[in-house]
Amino acid sequence: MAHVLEVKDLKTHFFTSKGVLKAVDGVSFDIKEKEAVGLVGESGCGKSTVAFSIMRLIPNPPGKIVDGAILLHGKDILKCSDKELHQIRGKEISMIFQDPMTFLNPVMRIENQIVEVLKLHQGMNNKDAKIRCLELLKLVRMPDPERVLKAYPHQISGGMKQRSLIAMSLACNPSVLIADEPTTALDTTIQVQILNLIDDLKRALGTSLLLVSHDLGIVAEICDRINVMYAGKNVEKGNVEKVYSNPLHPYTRGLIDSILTLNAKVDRIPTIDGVVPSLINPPKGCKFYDRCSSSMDVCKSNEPPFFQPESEHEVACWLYEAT
Amino acid sequence: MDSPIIKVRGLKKYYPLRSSLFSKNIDVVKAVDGVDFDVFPKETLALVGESGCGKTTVAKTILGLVTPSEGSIQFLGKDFSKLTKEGQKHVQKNMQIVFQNPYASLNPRQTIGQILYVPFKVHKFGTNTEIKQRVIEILEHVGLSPAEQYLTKHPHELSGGQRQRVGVARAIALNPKVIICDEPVSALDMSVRGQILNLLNDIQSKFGIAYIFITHDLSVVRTIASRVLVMYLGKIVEAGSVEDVIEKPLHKYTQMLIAATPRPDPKLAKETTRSAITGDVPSSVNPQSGCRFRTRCSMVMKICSEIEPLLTENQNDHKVACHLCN
Repeated sequence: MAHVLEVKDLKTHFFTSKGVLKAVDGVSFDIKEKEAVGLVGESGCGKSTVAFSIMRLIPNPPGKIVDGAILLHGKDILKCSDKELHQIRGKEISMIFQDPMTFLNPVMRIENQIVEVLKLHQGMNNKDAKIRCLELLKLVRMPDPERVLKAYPHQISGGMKQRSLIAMSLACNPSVLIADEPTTALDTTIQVQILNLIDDLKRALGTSLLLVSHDLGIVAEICDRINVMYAGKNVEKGNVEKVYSNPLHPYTRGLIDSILTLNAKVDRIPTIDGVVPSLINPPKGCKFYDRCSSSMDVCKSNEPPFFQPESEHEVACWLYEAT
Repeated sequence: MDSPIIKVRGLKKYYPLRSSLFSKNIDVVKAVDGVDFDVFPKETLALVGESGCGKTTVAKTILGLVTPSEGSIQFLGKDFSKLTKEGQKHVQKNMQIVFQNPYASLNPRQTIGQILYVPFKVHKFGTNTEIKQRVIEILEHVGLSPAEQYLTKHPHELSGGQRQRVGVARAIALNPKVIICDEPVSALDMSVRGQILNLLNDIQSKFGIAYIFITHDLSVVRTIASRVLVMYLGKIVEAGSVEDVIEKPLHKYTQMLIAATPRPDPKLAKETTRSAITGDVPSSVNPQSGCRFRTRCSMVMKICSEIEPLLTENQNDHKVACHLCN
């Protein structure tokens, strides 16, 4: 399968008054056609910065993509002019965000917001755009779509807002859909419906998906491959089933152990001790060194490269050097 | 069994909405609409439900932050609303709260020392040196040691997990009998969530505090609670021990909530379909007649739109409000 999106050694730094904050410091991954890839990590690990870098939405200053390449169908987005970017954003790559309320215009009816996208990118006239808009709302299984068209964002529920945003992001049949924590702000029963919807639409439209989330449960639901991030670095990547059944990196293992399940009551929840290191002047070697239970001398000053102990499963940890 | 610390009977909280100044028909948001339950010493009672189901309103009325429209709340046998100001203050000392968002619940201009000093000052606890001694003690209890180091820090210097520890410290400061935990871990990262839940467990076994634990996440309920109340649009739809409710859920809504909980197992996730989970929570303004869940229920019958099902005991303290089961 062809690569739709390739991120190569991406480095996005923020130049603050306290020093250079290396939010993303060398992250590489790729997304193939019709594939769903998960980007997982805790807050501050840089996963959203990766998503915003792909959209070229990093505020500059203070942020800057200092190194790396982001290839969309082989073309480097980082070298595109603003004009070219307008053609890519919303059309080739579109994004849905965590909090639907902040990304919908509160003083515009839902219909006008979607029609705007269609007119801009598809060159549709007003009448066609309105027809297409209703189709899109039906596609995202919006309850009572005719009413929603005429509604303002505050008049509809959180789930309906997220459905509107999904409709808007799919309006131009993008090759890549980036979903940044799309269900975090929603209730549990709505969350499942939105995830199912994203999954179904991805299959139906053949869109590739980059799902950014802190929740390993959600990623397990719909992703084919997963990238685990820690302190601006990619620490483990591979096939979802392999990573979940056999997590290699001590951090991934800790994260998976700390997931609570419905199956049985545990007396003591396993946790990862310590805190994430500062990304301004981060430690030299492995970023997880201070919190790792199986750390070795080599980890302290040497950053681990990727090793591949099994097929479709890579890990950046010195424990697997021999493999 | 011990006698309950808190007894809630027929609790209702309505918020009138006036559409225009002179209109006669006043719409009413029935945030909590007839809720009965007891809280026993040293137990953890979970209140589960989606946003808008009234779980936080229940907590606020128990704390006396909101006056109920109807019904009574008894604390150790005394009706809260009939107490004098002094009596209410005494009750409030014994009931504390840990909030959801540790970024918003701590005053950013105060140091941790100042934040923790306030409860003692309000309830006139000893001299300044005694208070300082006690503040250091509680900081150690919540795992912030060496405590002296944290006294002069401001909230922004702490991580989310550390801030929530300060929130817990503030709640246990006055040796309360009950702490209401309002989604205390939902704003936290996964690895930190476990630390705070472990801390709450430790504190409960050390000081014998009862928790009313408000959450939307059933996997958290499974880990921390002993009994659970499932709420839907201002009503309790199912109540019982955590084992009963999660392993043998009776109400269709509870079954839906359990099916919707993400499972961290890609194989299992790909095999299961969740087409049964549909619909949105209807508005709690002038809720419909009969069973409130009937718009989303797959087993809806004629009786459901006519008669409201009552919360009745099925077996061993496992109660459910559904015509199918009763």
